[in-house]
Amino acid sequence: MIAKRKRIGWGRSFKNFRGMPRKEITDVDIPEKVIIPLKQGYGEETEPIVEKGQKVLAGEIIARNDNNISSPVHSSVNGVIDDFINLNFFGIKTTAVIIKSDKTRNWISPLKEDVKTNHGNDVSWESFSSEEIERRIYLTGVSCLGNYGIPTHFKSSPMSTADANHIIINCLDSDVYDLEMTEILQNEELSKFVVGIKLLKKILPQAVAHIAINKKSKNIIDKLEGLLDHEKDIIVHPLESKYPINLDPVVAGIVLDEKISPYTIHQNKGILIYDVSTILNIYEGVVNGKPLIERIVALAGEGYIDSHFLRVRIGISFDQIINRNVKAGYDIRFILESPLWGEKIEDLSLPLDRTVNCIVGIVEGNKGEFLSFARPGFTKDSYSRTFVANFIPFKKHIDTNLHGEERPCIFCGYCEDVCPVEVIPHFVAKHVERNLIDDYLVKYKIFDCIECHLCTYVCPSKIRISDYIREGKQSLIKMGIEDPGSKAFSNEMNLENADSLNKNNGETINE
Amino acid sequence: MNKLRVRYQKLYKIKLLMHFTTIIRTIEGILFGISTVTESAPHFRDNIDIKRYMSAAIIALVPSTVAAIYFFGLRVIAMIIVSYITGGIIEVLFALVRKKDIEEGFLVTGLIFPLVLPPNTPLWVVAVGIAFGVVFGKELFGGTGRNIFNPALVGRLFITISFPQIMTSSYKLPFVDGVTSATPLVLFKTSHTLTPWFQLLFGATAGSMGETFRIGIIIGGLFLILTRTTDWRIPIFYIGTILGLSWIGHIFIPDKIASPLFQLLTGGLLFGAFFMATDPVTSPFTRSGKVIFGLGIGIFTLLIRVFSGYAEGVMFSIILMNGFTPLIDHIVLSIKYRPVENER
Ligand code: SF4
Ligand code: SF4
Repeated sequence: MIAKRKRIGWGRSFKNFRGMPRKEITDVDIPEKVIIPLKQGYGEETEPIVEKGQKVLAGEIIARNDNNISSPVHSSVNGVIDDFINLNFFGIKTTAVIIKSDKTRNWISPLKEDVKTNHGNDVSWESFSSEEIERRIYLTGVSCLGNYGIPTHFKSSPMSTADANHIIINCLDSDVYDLEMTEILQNEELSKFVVGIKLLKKILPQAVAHIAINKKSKNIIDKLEGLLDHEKDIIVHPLESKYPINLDPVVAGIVLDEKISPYTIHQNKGILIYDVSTILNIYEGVVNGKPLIERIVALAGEGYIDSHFLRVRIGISFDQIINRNVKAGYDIRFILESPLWGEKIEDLSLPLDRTVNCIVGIVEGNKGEFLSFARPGFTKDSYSRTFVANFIPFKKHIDTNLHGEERPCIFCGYCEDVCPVEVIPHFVAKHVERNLIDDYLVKYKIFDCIECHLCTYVCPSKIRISDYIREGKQSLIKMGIEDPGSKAFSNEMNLENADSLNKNNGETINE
Repeated sequence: MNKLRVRYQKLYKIKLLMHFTTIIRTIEGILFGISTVTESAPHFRDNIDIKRYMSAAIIALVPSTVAAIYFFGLRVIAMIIVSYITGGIIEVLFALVRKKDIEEGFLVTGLIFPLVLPPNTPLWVVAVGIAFGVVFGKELFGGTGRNIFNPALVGRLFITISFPQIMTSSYKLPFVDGVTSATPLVLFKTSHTLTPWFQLLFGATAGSMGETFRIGIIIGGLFLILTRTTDWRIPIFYIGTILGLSWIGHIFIPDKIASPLFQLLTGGLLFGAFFMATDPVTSPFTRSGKVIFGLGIGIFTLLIRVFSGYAEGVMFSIILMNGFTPLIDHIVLSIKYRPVENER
């Protein structure tokens, strides 16, 4: 079923940049050692079930904890357990296992019996019982993906399978370096994708599945419609692909036709959000019994000699992934996932975990440009239409330069125009800047901000609006003033540390 | 290029220039761009900055400025230079005292101000006007972004009130020297003479320097809207209100209220609508506020044109509505964000 078109008045479409990844996947050599964090994706830390010096095979479960909300963690290489260390992984403290590998590529399935069968009976996925699918999703570690993990009868998600009301599959390509779905879901991938959705629907039969996709990917939409013809509660939503529509709270708000607020996904409405790679992982995990030990990661941006996709084992360090592909002679900044909201990778020796999709590398723009403001701007992106690149589709260039001095706000209104929620960014930011932080900021919906940072991006006065807003939220929380939405959430979910669990989905809410 | 920059940066070390680092920094910014990088997300930024934003406004004023020089002679250039120099000095002085960067907004004010003056305005009056406008219209409020009234209009209002004789007798027809002439609006008010519309459109009438070449103003205005430098709401609602009201009014009292087209093509209406009412700092920032603002200026302009002793009302009504701007925003915000019970 195809949902009605919705008009979107906010946001910005980021298209046509240099350094887009080519759709070609190369295999990266198995590293000598891998560091595997025991908390990856959604869930709490797992407990190691291996010892130092023990031999492990790629795909073997090395840590699991069936008593807390978590999914098993596997060894990603064939080798020997070397050590256990404490790791600070992007602000999350976790234990990690170091494994020395023998550099061989083969792996085993954590589903002990032959994967093509169901407890010994030779059958295809269509006849799997939902328990069997859940078991496979859990044992292969796929259940740690998504905003709340994938509910199974194991403790992989705070939601039980009966709680799920909506599954949102986010296929939107509105981030700077996102490839179009027509490129990602070619023939085989598309059928795997459809099977993945059907598997998910089988374990969550009462939930409605929503596929959010760029309305310009007509080709895929038509094919999906054909493939999902008889399925009533799988709805395809063709949407305008404008950033930040791809961020969880926004896509949930749009698809479910609710006023967008970051708490839309928190209000115990049983909303689960997955991306395309998760669905493909479900397919691999259930049908082929493949554990989540590999990731297909995009190298994107102008910092690389050749931006393309890599197949890497989990636990490999960022260093080894980007190694040999970094442009020499430049200062390059590496960022996790997105140059718009992602976090800078300060320490390249950190390992890759099960959730990474993209490692952005952009050039540090620490050199000024002669008469920068007066250039025609053939390769310059801007929300205002004062550059040639707004009218002629040359490939645009990105660097980290501010492109202008900080100035007082001139009320140009750009920030309000692009903001996806009902916040007037400059207005709220100004209050915070002048330290006028009070609960009337709640009235002006400061807590609705989803921290997409688009307001900061477009501001000609180079004001760090979104940072001020975040600061304001933090001070309000310190003052004991909280958004009613978030309170309702933690009460209803009855979770002790609901927020700390929520690392995986890009936005840390109420940190 | 970087070598040049390094050489330039040696200026900072010269003792004599110590108090002028603001100026040096500003020039460095203009010439070499800036080398600061982002600290956190978003890791890259839009290429627009205030310099380019203001440059767009200046480009939009080019047709009017060139036409003014063509119609009223080289004197226009002298007036623009006087305006820039006087205003510029004041701007720099304030920047030096505040130890802040020199702000680019002045570049637009300094050009708009002479363009709203009659062609024969004495140069010293230009200087007095811009000085008053910059000091009392902007700097005393704390600089660009904090001012309530449009500085160019504050200056213009000041000299209109202080030197009424000079101002009214400084209008003249294009190309003709030494003869003062009344503007089409005054002609209509005093003798019901209607100036032909193509003369109005192409600028062969008396009027303030920048306001007569109306086709150029329209082009400049469309450029501003197309480049997203100004919002379309204020000019469209302003002009729309004038057209609508004068159409109705013309039916009932044709003697006092001229036809809509005449209203549109006379006085500073187009110039004011596109270049002065739209000043983002002094107009409401809320979208519905902009609509109300446009309607408000429209109504006041027509009222002043028809019922007051003045022939022209654009300037007064914009200043008047500038004063209402904070109130309009306040009301719009309190309606938009009124507490709704059980919202979540
Ligand atoms: S984008 Fe920047 S300058 Fe424009 S209104 Fe927002 S804060 Fe002010
Ligand atoms: S205010 Fe928040 S939600 Fe709105 S644009 Fe800025 S960061 Fe995004």
